[in-house]
Amino acid sequence: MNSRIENQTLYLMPEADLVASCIEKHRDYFVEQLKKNSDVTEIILDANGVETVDSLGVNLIIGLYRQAASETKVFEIIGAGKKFIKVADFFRFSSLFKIEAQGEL
Amino acid sequence: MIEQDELLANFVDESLQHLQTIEPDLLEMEKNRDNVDSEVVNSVFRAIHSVKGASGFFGLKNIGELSHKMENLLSLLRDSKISLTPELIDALLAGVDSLRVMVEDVGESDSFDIKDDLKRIQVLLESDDKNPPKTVSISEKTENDDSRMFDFFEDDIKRFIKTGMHVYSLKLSLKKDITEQGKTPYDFINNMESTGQYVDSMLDINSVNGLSDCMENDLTFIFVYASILEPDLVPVALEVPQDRITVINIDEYKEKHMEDLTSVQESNHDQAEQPDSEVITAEQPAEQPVDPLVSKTTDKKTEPAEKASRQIQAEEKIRVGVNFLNDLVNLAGELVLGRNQLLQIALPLIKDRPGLNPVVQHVSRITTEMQEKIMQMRMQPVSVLFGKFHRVVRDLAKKLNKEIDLKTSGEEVELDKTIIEALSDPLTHLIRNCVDHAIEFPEEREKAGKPRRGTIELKAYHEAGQVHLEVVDNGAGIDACSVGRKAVEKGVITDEQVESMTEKEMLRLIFKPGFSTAKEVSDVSGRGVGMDVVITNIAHLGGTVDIDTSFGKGTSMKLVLPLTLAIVSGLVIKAADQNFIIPEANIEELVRIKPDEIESRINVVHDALVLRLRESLLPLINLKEILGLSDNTERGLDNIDRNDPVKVLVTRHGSSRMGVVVESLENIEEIVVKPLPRYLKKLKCYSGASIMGNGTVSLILDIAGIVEKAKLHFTEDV
Repeated sequence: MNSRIENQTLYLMPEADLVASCIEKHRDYFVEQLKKNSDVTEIILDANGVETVDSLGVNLIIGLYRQAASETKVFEIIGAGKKFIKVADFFRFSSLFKIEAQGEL
Repeated sequence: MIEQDELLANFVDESLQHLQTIEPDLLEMEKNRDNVDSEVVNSVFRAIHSVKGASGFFGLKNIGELSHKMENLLSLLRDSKISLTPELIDALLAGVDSLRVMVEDVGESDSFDIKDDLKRIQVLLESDDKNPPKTVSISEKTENDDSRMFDFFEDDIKRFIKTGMHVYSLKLSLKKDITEQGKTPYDFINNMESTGQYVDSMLDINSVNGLSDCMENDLTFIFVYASILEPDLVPVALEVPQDRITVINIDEYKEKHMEDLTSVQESNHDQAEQPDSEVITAEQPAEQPVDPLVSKTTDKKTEPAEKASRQIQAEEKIRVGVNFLNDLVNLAGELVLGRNQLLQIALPLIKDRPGLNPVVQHVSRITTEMQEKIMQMRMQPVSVLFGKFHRVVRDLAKKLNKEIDLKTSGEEVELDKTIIEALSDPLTHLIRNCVDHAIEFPEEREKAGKPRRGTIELKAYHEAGQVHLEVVDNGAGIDACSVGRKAVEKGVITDEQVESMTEKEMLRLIFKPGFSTAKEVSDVSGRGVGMDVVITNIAHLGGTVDIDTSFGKGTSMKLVLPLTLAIVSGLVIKAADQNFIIPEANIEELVRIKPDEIESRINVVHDALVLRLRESLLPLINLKEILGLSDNTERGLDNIDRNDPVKVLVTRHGSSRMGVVVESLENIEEIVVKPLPRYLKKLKCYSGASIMGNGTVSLILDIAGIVEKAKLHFTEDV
C-alpha cells in the first residue's frame, strides 16, 4: 500500500484487490493516512492496482467517501479498471463522487 | 492445415456476408434517425458480434479489436444511452469499410492501420450526449410508504412492453445476499445481465457513517431489472430469495401511451407528444410480490408478416460454391447440345419406331426444364447491385455538398451472375457522373425553380426478352451542341463532321475516349475515361447504351442487356451456304421482298443500300458481303440476286435499326454460347460460336460489330 501528497491532495494507492482477505488492512491504512494528513482538502483513491472489488470492498469505498464527506473533503477515484467500473456503474458511484477509468484501449 | 484453411475461407465468406447486410441497415438508421427501429440496431449489433466472435477463434487481433469497439458503440445505441448522430453513422460506416478490407485480405489484417477508426469511435464513446433520450420515472412505494424513484429511458419502456419483458425491483444486502453466498458484486452483475437488462439502481449509504463502521454495517441496494423471465424464475436465475423481488407494474404507462406504442409498432412514427419526464406510481404490495402480469399475448405484438416471411426464406436457402454452379451450367449446356443432336438424329426415325417419339419428347422436355432451373440458379436479383449505390450516392453527395436522393425500383429483376458482376463498374460510373455533373448544387436548383434535393432513379425491368436498366436524373441535362463544340476542341472530331451530325449523334460523342465536358477534373470524375469504358463493357455483354436528355430538366441513360450469356435463343440463317446464328433478341422482323418490288424498295443513297420499309429508310447490308464471303467483286444492288425474293432480317441494335440480307432462314434454336477462341476474338462481327444439332459449328453474329464493320451512319427517319 502506498500514498503520497500532492498540493493538498492525498493519493491513496492500494496495491492489492479490495477484497475480504485484506480489507481490514486497507481500512486501517486509510484511517492512519487520513489522520496523518488531516489538512488535505481532497482524497483520491488511485485504483490502478486494484482489479477486484468485492462487497466488503464496496463497503470500504463508501466508508472512505463518507469519511471524506464528514471532513468536508472532496473524494475521487482514478485509474479504475474495467471490472471496477462495471461495479461502480451498477452501484451508481458516479452519483456520489467522480470516478475515472484507466487509460482506454 | 487444409482444414484450417477451409475454416478460414468460411470465416471470410461469412464475415463478408455479415458486412454486406450492415451497410443498408446503417443507411436506414440514418434515414430514420428520429425513430430508429430497434430491430435494425440489433441486426447490425448481431452482425458485428458474429464477426468479432469468429475473428477471436482465428486470433485476428485487429478485426477483433475494431469490431469490439463498434459493438460497444452499438451497445450504447441499443440501450438508448447515446443518440444516433451523423458522426456515429459515419464512424460505423468507416469501421465497416475497414473490416471489409481486413477480411478480404485476412492474412495481412493485423498490419492494417485501425488507429483512426478506433479513435473516431472512442471519441463518440466518450462524448457527452447533448440530446439525452427522454426518461420516464417510476416511483416504487415501500411498506413504509416511502417511495423511491427509478429512471427509465422512454425507449426502453416501450421496448420492454413491445417484447413482453417484466420489470422487477430487487432489494438486496451486500453482505447477506452477495458475500455470504460466496459471490462478488461483479459475479452478481454478470449473472443479472445474462438474464435481463439492468435499468437503474440505488445504494443506500445511510447505514455507513465512515471508515470506523463501514465493515460492521451492511449496505442495502435496490436495483431495477427487466427480463423476459417470469416472476417465479427470477429467484432461481439470480439466486436470491423470492421475497427480495417485486414486480413493477408498468400497465399504467401502457394505458397512458397505448396509441404511441401502437404507432411505434406499426410504422415507427411518433405521434403523441411526450413530456420529457413523467411519473408513474407503481404499487408494491405489503408481503407478496405482485402476481405475474396479465397474459403477455394480449399485449405482445405479432411480428410483421414481412419479417416472418424473411425468416422463412432464410431457412430455405442453401449456399453453393460459384465454381460448382459454373460446372453445372457447362453441363447443362452440353446436355442441350446433346439433346439437339439427338433430336436431329431421332426425328427421321420416329415414323418407323412407334415408341421413340414420346421418349425423345420426354428427354427434350426434361432437358429444357433442367436447363432453365440451372440457369435460374445463376440468376441474381439486381438488388445485389443496386444496394451498394445508396452508400455511393450518400458519400459522394456529402463530399460535394449536394443533396441527392437515390430511388430504386425493379430490384427483384434477375440477371445472370456474370452480367451482374460486369455491370458493377459501368453503373458505378454512371451514378458517379450523375452526382458529380448532372445534379446541380442545392442553391442553383432552387434558383431554377427546382426542388433543392436532386433525384437519381435507378430502374430495372424486363422488356422483349431483355433486361432494361435506366439511370434517370432530374439534373441539368446535356446540351448536345455544347458536346459537339467540346468534341471539336478536343480534336475528337472536325468542324465539318459536327456540322452533319444530328443531336443524338452529338450526344453519343460523350462515349468517345478522352471526351469530357467537366470544367475541372475531380477525383470523382472528369478525366474522360469513364464513359467509353461504360459503353465498351456493356457492348462486351451484348448490350447497348442509349441517352435521352432534356437540357435543364434531366437525363436518362438506358442500358439494354441480355438476360444471360450462356444460352440464348437464336435464329439460324444461311449466307454463302454457311450457317450463322443471330440472337433472337436482336431481330425485329423478317421482310420478304418480291423480285418485282426490288427496284422500288431497295435504293442506293450516298453509295449505301437502303430499304424502304413502311415510312422509314433502313440501312441495308448484304451479310455475305460484310463477312467477306462474296464470290464476286460486285457490290451493292448488283450483288443481290433479283430472280428470287430477297430475304431481309430487320435487326435492332440499341435504338438503331438495319436490314440484313440473308440467303435463307433455317430455324430457331436454343443456342449454347461458347466463347470464341483467342485467335478469333478480334473478329468483331462474331460474338461466339455454338455446336449445332448435326455436330457442325456455327458462328454467332454480333450485330454491333456488323454495324461497325459496315460503317453505317444512322440518321433521323425520313
